[in-house]
Amino acid sequence: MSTASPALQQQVTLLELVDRVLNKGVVLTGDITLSVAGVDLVYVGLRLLLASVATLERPPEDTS
Amino acid sequence: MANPRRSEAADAAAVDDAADVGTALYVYGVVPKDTPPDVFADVGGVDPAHPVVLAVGDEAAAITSEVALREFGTDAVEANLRDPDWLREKVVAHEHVLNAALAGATSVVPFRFGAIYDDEAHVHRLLADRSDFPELLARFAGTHEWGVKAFLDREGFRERLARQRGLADADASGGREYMLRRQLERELDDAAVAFAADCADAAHARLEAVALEGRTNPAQRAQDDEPDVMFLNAAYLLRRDEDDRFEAELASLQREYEPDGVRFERTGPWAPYNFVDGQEPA
Repeated sequence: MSTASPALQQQVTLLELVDRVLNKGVVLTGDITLSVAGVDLVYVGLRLLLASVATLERPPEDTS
Repeated sequence: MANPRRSEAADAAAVDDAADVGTALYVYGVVPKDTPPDVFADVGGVDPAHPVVLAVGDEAAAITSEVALREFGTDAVEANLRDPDWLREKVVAHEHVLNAALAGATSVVPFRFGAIYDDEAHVHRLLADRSDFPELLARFAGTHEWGVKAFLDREGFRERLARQRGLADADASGGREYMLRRQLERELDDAAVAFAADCADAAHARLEAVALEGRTNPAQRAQDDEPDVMFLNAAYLLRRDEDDRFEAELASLQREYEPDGVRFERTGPWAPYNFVDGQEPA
């Protein structure tokens, strides 16, 4: 369905993965080590990093 | 926790860590209590030195693995979180465990990254205290999640629309033409935005109709130099045996909207991350 290169596709999937593992799912409070705020912050940072890598690796428009 | 399956490499690491301060328990999610423990026999956890095991409670089982406090203790983990390579590796490991759960358990309630408990007694307290796990397990039984994003080639859409209106060659020269051109640009922008909104509504309604539930998230902003603008960022909860219907509907949407410059992307299957509400119930 998408014509992106496998490497780019992987990057896009990693973004999707990060959008879920760091941003969705059951959040626990109480006895846990990592605060929600801490995870929210690293989510934003890692997302930005991955998004910029995905952009750099996006292939030029197919002109054939 | 005794660990008969510990690998040789892990043994070596354990010797190196003889002076280590100990471990805690990382929790990936919850599955039905009758899930076979060997579902996780071949999957590495966020700390590969330790196997992934179930902590079985009265109503549900938590998917857990031991993690070294040297890596996941409060101070250590805060430093590690700032290392994108470390975080990426751990996020992928978290997902691998939940993928194994999707493949081998009838239902999965995924947790967000970073649920770390002191010991098994704490995990059992979690299972006993959270009254919503049986309900979530029942709702997610036999299901998984697919992600769908839709993108519009905005420039292409504007050019086609301008051509259709016979305005492609309206060269701007002089003040009045300039104003007309500006007005046309605005109209084309508005038309693209309206088209994307209509397409998002139609696509979401049709995909939701072949799914059990659907959720939309905010579309992510494109970088300035990206040609395609995301206008739909959705997740769908499906019965695992109804993927074909969903895929057929998505393919039909792709065929219908492709001439307008729309591209759909599907990812998954995922544990139903988008269908648990993040916060603990009151």
